[in-house]
Amino acid sequence: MIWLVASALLFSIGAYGALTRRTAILVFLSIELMLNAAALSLISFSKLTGSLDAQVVVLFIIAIAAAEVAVGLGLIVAIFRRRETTSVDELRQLRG
Amino acid sequence: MQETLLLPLIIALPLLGFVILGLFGKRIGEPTAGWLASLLVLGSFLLGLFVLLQGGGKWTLSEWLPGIPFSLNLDNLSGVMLMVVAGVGFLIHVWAIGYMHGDPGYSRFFSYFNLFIAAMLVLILGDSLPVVFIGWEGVGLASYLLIGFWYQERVNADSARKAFIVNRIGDLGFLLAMGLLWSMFGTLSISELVEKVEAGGYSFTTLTLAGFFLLIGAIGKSAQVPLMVWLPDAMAGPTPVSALIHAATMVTAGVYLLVRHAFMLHDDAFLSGLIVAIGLLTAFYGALCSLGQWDIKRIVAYTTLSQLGFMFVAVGVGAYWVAIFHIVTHAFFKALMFMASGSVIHALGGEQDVRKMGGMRKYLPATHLHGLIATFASGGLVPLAGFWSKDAILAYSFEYGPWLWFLMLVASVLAALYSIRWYVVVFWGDYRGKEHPHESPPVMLWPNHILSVGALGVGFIGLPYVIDYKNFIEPFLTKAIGDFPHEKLPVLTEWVLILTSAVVAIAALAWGFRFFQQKMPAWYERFQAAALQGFYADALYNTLLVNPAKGLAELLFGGDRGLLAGFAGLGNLMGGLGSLLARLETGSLRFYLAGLLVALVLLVGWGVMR
Amino acid sequence: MIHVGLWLPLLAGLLLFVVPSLGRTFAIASAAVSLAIGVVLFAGYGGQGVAYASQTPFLPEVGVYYAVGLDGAGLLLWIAVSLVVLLGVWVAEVPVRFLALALMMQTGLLGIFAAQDLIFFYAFFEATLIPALFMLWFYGGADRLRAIYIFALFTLVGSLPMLAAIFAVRYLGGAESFLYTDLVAHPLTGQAAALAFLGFLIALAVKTPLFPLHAWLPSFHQQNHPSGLADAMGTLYKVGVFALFKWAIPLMPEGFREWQGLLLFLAAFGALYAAWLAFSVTDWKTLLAYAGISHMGIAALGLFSGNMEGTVGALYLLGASMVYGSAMFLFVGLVYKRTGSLDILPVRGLARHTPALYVLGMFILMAMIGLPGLSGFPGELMALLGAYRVTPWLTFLAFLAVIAAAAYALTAFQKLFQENAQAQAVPDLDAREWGFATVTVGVLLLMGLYPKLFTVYLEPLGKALAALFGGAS
Repeated sequence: MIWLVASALLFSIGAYGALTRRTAILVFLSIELMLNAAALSLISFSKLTGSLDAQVVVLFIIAIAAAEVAVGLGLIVAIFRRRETTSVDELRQLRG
Repeated sequence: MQETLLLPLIIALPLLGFVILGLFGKRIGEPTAGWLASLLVLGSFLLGLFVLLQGGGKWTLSEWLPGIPFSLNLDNLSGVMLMVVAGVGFLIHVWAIGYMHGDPGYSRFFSYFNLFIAAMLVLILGDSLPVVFIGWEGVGLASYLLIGFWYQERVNADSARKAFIVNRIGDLGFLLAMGLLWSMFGTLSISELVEKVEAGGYSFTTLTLAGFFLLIGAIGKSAQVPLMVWLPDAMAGPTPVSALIHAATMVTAGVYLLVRHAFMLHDDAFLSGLIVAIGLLTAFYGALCSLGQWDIKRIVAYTTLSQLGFMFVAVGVGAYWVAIFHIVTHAFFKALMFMASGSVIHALGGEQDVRKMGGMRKYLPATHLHGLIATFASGGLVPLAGFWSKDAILAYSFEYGPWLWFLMLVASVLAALYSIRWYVVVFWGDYRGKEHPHESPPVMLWPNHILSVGALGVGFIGLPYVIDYKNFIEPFLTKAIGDFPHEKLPVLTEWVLILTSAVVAIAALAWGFRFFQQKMPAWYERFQAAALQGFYADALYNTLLVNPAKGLAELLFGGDRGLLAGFAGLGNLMGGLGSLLARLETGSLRFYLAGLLVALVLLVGWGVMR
Repeated sequence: MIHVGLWLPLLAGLLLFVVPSLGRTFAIASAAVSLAIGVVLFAGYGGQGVAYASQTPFLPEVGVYYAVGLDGAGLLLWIAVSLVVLLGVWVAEVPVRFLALALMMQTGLLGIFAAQDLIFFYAFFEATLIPALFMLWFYGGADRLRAIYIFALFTLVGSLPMLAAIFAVRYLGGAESFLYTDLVAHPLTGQAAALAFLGFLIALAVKTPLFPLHAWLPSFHQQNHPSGLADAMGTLYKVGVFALFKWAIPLMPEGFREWQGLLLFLAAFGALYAAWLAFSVTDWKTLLAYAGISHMGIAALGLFSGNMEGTVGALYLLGASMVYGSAMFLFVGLVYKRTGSLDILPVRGLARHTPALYVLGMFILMAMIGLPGLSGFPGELMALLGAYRVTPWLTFLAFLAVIAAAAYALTAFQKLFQENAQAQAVPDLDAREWGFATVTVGVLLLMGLYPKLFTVYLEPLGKALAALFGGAS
């Protein structure tokens, strides 16, 4: 149970960070926190129910997170090179 | 009545001519094209005669359409019509060889002419109504093509179009009649309809309605009031066309159709009365209009209207065989009248205004003789063809009611007057034009000689019973039409009627002969002005029907654009809603994330609450 | 054989699109082979039921099969489509890639007629739209964007309710799969049927086209390439009557019954409305668009009367109008080639110099206004006979169009060909165009004089449909 509380905490911190930080890097970090919070909750449920399915999913999540970091950081670097900033408040060209 | 392949062959001959001349006409050239067309029609005539002498025949292709066979039937009625169409048609073809000489569309003309004969034969021989309808519209098409033969003049093209459209009103009646008969009896074959109508077991009112629809069709084709407006304009075509289509054959198709359906009409007092009324109106309208015309062909066209009115009255009073008898005699004398007119036009280099004619009896002796015979036959002089058929109509009218007999007598006085007027203004007096009239070539004279013989003598096949107790044509036709017995008039009455109409006709002809040579009195000039315009029927129709219809078309066209704009507006409305939603796309990452989280909270909350 | 016939045009079209240097001859060859296959299939047809049927599981879990086959109606329309495509690629003066698009569209159309599985039917139905849009987009007139917008709006939005209704039919009706045979065995009933039928109806009314959902058609034709090929293909795309006959009515007879009165009225009214309106139209393509709407109104009236005669008439008229309607557009293309304009108003007096073109136009025009002896008449007559039994007054209303049709058609024809004795000289038909003219006239006559050729196969279909409503209604 305690792990579920920890997971909720971790998620909240991540959400708070994602909403308040300006730098894209930090927003990205916070999102990673939320992702791992989800993984953590999956693990704890797995422990509660005794099923291994969730653990398999978590392995996938880790793998995907790794790939995501590579792509995400790459994007941020590319944007910085071009725009000389990573502030999410300034990067709002993607609107309809 | 045996199955015979000769029937489709009768139709195929002129059709073949249409195809050959249509495709290779230019190469065949004149006069071969004309002779080829004529001989094919003669071939149809001879084949038809052969089958008729064998007692008729039929031919069927079953299940042409589901439940509807393609059937042809040559019985005595259609046989007589075939003799008229192919026989008179052949003579007019030959005459046209001379008349159309030198026209750049020479072979095209004969190709259309053959198409007409083929379509007319389909109309006559058809036994199932859709087959009749093929011919029915086919002759309409041929008439359209031939009226507009010189289509480079706008007037001619307009007249052709008018004829087709007005005829289509009648065709709609025909179509609806087919729909109604099909829903009543489940068959459209005339010979089966006869049996089913006799068998009974249907609503009589509905049958009246079916007959009414057919009547509309007949009115359109036979140019009766109120659909008569197209026939005078149809004179825009070459004269052989007027003689063949708009006098001798096609316009009688409506009468033929009604006679074919005599079994539906004969004990329907409403329809009979309606037909009599229409015929009477047309007889008077045509006669009065004819007296005011200056164009030689329009004079004759209106006389045709009047004679068609006579035929309708005959149908209305139940004298079906008389109607056909009158078709036969009329075909001879009216074709003769038209072709005599044509010979005059030919002699004067295309002049059609009678005010620039006159005195032709000196220049064109042979044509003068033809004209005289046609006039007397049409005016009802004893003992020419027109007298006997008209007299039979009068006798039957007397049975229907003496008042009708009296009106018809007045109408036949008018008939005598317009015939003699035509004759006087064209052939008497002094020549008022500047051309050098010349008599027509033999190829145009010989058909007229033959028609003259017919106009003189063909009436003797249908003498009244007081003279010839069993004449030839009545029993011959009633075998096919059906025998509807009627009280014969007493011998004395019959003789009185015959003598009255004979004397009246002679008197009218004599009086007219003097009257039309004088200068016209003022009252006649006033009457003439109105008659020249056909008593303003065209203007009336344009104001009441044609222009409002056009206006409505404009209105609908505008409305339809509005409809599209409405739908496009609906699309734009959706687009507007979309652009409202698009406002949510701020581009701010934080806004999106907040949205995500709010949605998450709501979802989880909803899950917990449940 | 049927598979080859179905997919060959698509492959040929794709190949031609990629390698345009293959040229028109290649397109003609492909179209000719398609037509030949159609004729062979027709010759081998036994006369009853669905022939050449074959089915392969495609997504068996959800009950989707690749199932094709042809009944009498399918065969008639298959041949009509193949013939028109052949005539079109034969005579139309267009870029080669245009021909490729036409060939691709042919597969979609043939698929609509051959599909025996509702999902595949829907797929063909929608996929056909793509080449049509491309034709309009690549080769359309100046104002084509608006036309595309309207066309896409009507067709795409219209199709969505049908997709929903398709699933409703399958799952609420309780069928095992989307196969035609399965669905027909489990027709929908009650309120659901009425709603689902409405879903089909919206999509199919757009493609019939049925008043008032016809509004897209005039702008579609106005903006398409003046050669008339795209218009001819668009005419073939008027499959609404067929789809209503094949799918919507048998699957939801009760639903159809709910809407029958309204539908009869719309069909009859549309027939007269479009014909009347056409009288004040000033260009050929708009005129033909409205003429087509009017004819389809008559066909729909026949179908909606729900008896044998009406159904046979509707299907026959559909097939016939595909031929004469498309031929008329191609004919107008030939006129455009000579005069450079499609307006009706100028008095051109063409007949003097182009007698053969005149005769060709006369034939197609007369077929179009239903002259007996040409292809328009048998269908119109049967539709009339069927409709009259159900609703005499509406039939009368609809067939007033017969008069209006003569008025608009002959008026336009007169302006184009007659009146003007001083017309400018233009060349008459060349050898290629003579080929087009000969075949067209031949087919018009054949369909008009010997309708038995097809109606014997349509009759059982009509009887089957009538049997849904107890024989006669």
